[in-house]
Amino acid sequence: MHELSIARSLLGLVRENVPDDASVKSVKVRIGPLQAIEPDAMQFAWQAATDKTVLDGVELSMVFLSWQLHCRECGRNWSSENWPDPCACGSCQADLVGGDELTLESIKVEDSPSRTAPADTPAP
Amino acid sequence: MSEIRIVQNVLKHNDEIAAMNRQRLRDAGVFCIDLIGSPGCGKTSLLEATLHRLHGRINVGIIAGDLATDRDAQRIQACGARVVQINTGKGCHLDANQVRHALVQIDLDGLDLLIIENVGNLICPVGFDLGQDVKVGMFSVCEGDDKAAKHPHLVRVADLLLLNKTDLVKYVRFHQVTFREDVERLSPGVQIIELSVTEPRIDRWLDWLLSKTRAANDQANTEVPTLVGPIKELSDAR
Repeated sequence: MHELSIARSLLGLVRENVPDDASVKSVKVRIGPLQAIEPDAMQFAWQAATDKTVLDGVELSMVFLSWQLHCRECGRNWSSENWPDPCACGSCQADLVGGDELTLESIKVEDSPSRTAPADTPAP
Repeated sequence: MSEIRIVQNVLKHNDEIAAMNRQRLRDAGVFCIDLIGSPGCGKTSLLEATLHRLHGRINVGIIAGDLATDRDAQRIQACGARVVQINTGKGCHLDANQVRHALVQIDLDGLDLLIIENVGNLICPVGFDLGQDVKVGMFSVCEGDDKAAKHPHLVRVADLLLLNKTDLVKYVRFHQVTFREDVERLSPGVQIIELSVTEPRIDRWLDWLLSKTRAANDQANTEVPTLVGPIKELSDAR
């Protein structure tokens, strides 16, 4: 189950991109179809990897990318949820374009109270 | 709430270690292969046959990955090759850090070729760079002719595909045209070598290995030891 290795790598990557005291709420990952990642398995792996760590409870948001195809016969490019997928011209000679993306897109962090405090808050 | 845009490869750290492995191997003039195939497709048997045929011609080392046991390492050691076994426990693939530790244990001095036999698995090992020069994907006719289509990532990234157990094709439902068409759709122009370890018929694989190893050695200005003589091109005995 390579999802667990990927979850552990993601955990490390998130931690090195935010301050130690940051309150991370969610992380967003873009996943290409060639990665063969099963959504439920990835969620389970993320929960297992972050259990009892500072990222315990952080939501994993996954964007699964479609297959990007190029027709060798007519040159058309299109997106599909399936592979193989015949072209509209009738050809079955479709090449895959990319598809192996596995990217940490963004991290959502709770704003710290010092940043959101109103200007006229009285000093203690 | 703030959203911080990152856009980094999730496997960034693995890839950084893989790059160090790659440099270490290139500095030593060693050509390295990551051999990926399902359990039972014949990876270890192919390595045994390869080592026997290349004995005295080039120096070959093996890193063997398995969940458990050192049986593969024992078989390879019996062929006289340098071998390191990595037991991954529950891990379904090798990663660059495991290979980094193995490279410390295997003496690269005088080695021409290093083959990493990955954990038997057509999916998980594919996305992990180990520091190899090439990834070789191995199938067998016994698995069915649809396995290339079902494992597109491996077919896409492999520099070479092997189709083993071709001596059994008449006993199983395997249409070579279907297999080849699926491969061509996924990775146009990728080389497929059909072989049979048991017949044996592995000359084209050995020719490919020797050719790649010699090119890597030449590039690193590492001469083949005079003890073994020049690398002899083997005929394609079909």
